[in-house]
Amino acid sequence: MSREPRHVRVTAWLSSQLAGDPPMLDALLEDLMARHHGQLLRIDRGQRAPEPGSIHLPMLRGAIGGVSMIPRCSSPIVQTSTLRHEHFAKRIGVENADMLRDDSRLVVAVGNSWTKSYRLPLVVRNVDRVVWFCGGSKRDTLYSLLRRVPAIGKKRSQGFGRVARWQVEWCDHDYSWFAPSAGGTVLMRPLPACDELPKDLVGCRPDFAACLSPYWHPDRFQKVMIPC
Amino acid sequence: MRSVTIQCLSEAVSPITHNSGTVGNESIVAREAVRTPRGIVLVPFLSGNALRHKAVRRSGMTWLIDHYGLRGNLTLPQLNFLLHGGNLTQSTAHENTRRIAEMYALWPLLRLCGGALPDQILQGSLQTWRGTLVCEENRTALSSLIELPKDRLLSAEAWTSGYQYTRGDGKKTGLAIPEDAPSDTSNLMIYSGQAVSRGAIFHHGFVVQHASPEEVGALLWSLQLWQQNGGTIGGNARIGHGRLFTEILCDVDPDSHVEAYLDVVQQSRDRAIEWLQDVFAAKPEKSKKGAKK
Repeated sequence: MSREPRHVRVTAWLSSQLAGDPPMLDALLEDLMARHHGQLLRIDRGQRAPEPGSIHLPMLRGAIGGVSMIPRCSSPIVQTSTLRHEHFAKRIGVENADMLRDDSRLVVAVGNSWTKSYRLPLVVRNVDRVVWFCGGSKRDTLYSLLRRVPAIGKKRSQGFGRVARWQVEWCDHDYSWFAPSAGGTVLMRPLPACDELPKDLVGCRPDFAACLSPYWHPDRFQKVMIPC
Repeated sequence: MRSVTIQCLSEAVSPITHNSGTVGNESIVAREAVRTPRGIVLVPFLSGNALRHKAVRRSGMTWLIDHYGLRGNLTLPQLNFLLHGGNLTQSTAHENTRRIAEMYALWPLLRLCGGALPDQILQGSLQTWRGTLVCEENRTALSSLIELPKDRLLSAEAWTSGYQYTRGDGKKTGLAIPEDAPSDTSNLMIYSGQAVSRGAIFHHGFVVQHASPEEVGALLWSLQLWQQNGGTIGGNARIGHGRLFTEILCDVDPDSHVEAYLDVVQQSRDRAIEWLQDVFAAKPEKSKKGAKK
């Protein structure tokens, strides 16, 4: 029974601070699925964005405002938390100058060029969990994919965003795109700005952004409504 | 291949001064915000960046440079790549899959740590956890990972202490020769700061994704070398601060993995050096259009 597609709530329980923003779950799953099928592709801004839906996702997709294949998956939901910042630094280790060969023992500028030392800020927040809602997903499939993800957010290699455990639970209702509330219908993910959106939409603002993965690709940008 | 998790319990055997800056003229230890039932509390920690560099990349790579006889023979970009991760400096970045495959085979430690060649970014497989202080505030976060030593579960502030030393500049004040100095004056300047006390325990760890035995061996060997060389982290190591005694907890056989790594290092020495020289070789200059031959 548990393999039948139904609506699910995915929770990542974190055991360290989250750096940057949590990822869209469909983008994370696309990467996992691509790796799983050995079709890891690197796309840069100069290349065209891949065809929507070219990578299978273990969840339903839908169409609205003339855009098809939009995953039935909400944006990440995190509790309100004070944003803090930490720093990460790098410098050329001059204490290792004896490792350089004679003609490389030069005076190097540490204020510019590639030898520049840096101490960059990183926005972090204290959240104990991140939640996503998915429509028409297979719980076991989702869990088996996500349990391979040890951390989310930025600077995972330095210990930020460590996931202590993944939890995938059944959910009675589909809150992937919209969720009811006393004030009206809450927008749950970026969707095209169009007349098909509910008239009583709240918790959103207009933007020029992507509503399909890869979310950073200029080809994907259009007029959208995003949750706020 | 599977992901391997190695957890560590590091006990401070001298004050730990892993700082985040100064307030006035006092150094402050780095702290992270921890959510507790009584609100957000700032608790000392060790950054993953520092642990990754000191315990893995620096210790393992310094040994490798000496073992390969590269000390005194490296260019600055090579040194920067091996010890500090390198920089992407060329605008025409591309992916050379053969080069990546060769590096993975010849340099397990670089596969672990990753880095950037002048024209190519190489993803590492190592995720380093931050050093989490074993204290009451972190009890919830740590209790699912390890059995906590109950005698160390004090509040974080109980593990925070201070230090104070003096220093003087004899040359500037003309007091370089002690017998010339009047006995009733002193040019010593006090400097002070916070430290995490001796006896505190930090929990940290490493996840090697899709790990090969050689990569796990490279990690364990680097950790061993780090411990042999004092196991220091943070600043003021010159005056004995920052020493950690680390207990490694893992479900793999350390000896066989280290042996597998050392075998690769032994067998691939010449090819590894050749690979390094090749990827950092100066590119031949292109002839300008219209240039007279």
